[in-house]
Amino acid sequence: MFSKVLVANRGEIAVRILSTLQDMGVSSVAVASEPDADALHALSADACWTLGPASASESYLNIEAVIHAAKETGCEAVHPGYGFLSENAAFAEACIEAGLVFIGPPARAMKIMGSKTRSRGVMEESGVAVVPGFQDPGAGIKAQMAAAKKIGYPVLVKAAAGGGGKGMRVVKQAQDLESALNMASQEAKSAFGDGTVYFEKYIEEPRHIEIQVFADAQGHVFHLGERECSIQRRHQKIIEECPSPLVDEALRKRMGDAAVQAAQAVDYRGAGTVEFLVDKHGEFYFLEMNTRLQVEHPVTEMVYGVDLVRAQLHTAAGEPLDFDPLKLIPRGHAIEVRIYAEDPANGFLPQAGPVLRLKWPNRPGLRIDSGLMEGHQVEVHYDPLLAKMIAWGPSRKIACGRLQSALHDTVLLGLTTNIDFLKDLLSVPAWEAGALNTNFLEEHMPGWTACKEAPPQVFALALEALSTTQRTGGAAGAPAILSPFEDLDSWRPLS
Amino acid sequence: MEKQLSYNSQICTVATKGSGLVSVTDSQGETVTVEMHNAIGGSYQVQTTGGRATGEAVRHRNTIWVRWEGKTYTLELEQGTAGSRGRKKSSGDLTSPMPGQVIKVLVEEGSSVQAGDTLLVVEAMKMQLEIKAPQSGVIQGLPHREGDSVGAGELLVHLKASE
Repeated sequence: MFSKVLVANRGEIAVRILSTLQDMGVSSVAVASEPDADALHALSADACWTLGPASASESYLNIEAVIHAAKETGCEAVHPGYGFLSENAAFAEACIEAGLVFIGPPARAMKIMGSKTRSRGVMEESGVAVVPGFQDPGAGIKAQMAAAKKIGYPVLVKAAAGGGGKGMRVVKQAQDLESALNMASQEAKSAFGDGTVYFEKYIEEPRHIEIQVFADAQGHVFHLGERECSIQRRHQKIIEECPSPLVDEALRKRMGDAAVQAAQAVDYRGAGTVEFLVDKHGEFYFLEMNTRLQVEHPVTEMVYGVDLVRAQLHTAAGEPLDFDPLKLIPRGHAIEVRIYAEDPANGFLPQAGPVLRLKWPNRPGLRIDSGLMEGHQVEVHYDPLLAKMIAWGPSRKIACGRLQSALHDTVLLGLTTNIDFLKDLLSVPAWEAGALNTNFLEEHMPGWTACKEAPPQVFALALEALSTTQRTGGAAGAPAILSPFEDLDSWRPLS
Repeated sequence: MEKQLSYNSQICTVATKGSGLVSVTDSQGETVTVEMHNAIGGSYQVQTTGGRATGEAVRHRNTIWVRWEGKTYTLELEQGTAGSRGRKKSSGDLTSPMPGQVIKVLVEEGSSVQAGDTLLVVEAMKMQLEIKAPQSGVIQGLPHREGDSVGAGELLVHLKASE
């Protein structure tokens, strides 16, 4: 095993990877942008290296700076997490060139799967169904219009290099295609440094189901069941669960076999996820393969009882896994909700602000992967994902109830989040019935708002907070953030 | 201590009455008295018919964040009359719905625009948002350039509607 590993990421995923390194007794190094130097992930590692200014391109996306940090601190390997450099084959190659182990798949597999256009071609050749689409980056608008007409509207525009919903647009009619392609391309350029976009047929009422695959260092390729990720906003997942209420044993086997085949087709190694769209009739189409640890990996971990990061480390070090994949038995049900800095009552727009108070519940069957700390500022430079709350239960119903009560008892004050929205979502009858598709929020949560009126206790509590800050000069109310000049209440006009 | 606090359009006068009692009076003049106990570390206990329940409240500038019975409320401290607090936002003002960076300015001062035209593009957390004209008119104020950082609610465009 490695003696020291650098985690090239921030937020909850950096903290989560660091926890496995600590669990295994491996020394850890975090990297941070300047404003993140006192963030939870930076404080959680044995040492932290500051990369550069806030902007991701000067810090977390700066390949040279990350490799320099790893070499200077004496690391042997680099874990990229998800997002940032995790699917950047040039980074994987640069690591190897610098004598570092990249904890991820071989660069060749990343290159093929990292380009949605190339991966579709490989999948078609190996007999896995793909959604009909158009993929010619060099084509002019006329050829694109003709292709879209042939496929039939609506079409979905996507970034070739990306994930996480960035750069995606649904186009319902021909006259909107050109502007959607341009906007998506700009977004993709800004998020991934590559503006290549393509489009495919938009499948209506689709379910988004993915298979966790793993290829160990000894050449075994296996899958760890599916994750249901149909509940999305802006094509970005907000709730994931394992197993899917919509997948039976036969479909699981068919999808699992196809996913393993996809991994084998590119000589994959380590943890990966094969995403499928499943239509109303149970037909599934290959969407893409994510060649990294997935945001929602904890639901698989809780149901299968494995630590995927630990398995990644063993594989990257060339060691066998410390469990027998053939003996894995899935148990019960796990559900994850993503806690975002966003306003669900206002188009899910990103929010920023200080974390004034933070209290997570701690109870059986509950896991919280968080990058937050009280007193810290949530900045606009990075992804709005703050934390994930994952509940396990012997049944879906118990897991769901646990999650609801845990959300109810979470205190996160100082910036607008989707916590109350998630709690309401988990009590929608269609959710409880497992009737899911990717249009779920539009169908079941339109026009959601926070409570219209506050009860008198809320006003009384607010007054207490005001009197506490006045009596103590801010110590009990808002540590380290209040200044005397912010107590505008005591200011009067001079006239 | 007596303060005016608002939540959405609901405005209440809230006052301490001694021995942990707080009176909450709504705009119709109806008063409810709430009994509070033990303030430790920003958590407060509120007497309810079912016993004491814990609530959380914390202030940041003139906003007070409250967590009560599994719901979050954002209250504002009201101060004086609106007239003493600077120019009021007028109906032609388009503000940024989120904090972020202005990455594109597609119009100039004096430009005539049609309803639905994209005026600016704001980016935050890798998401781009087009700011569109809600009605046809002439651009009269454009305080930001490409690359500027803007806060939520900050003025982006002043649009004078055409007749």
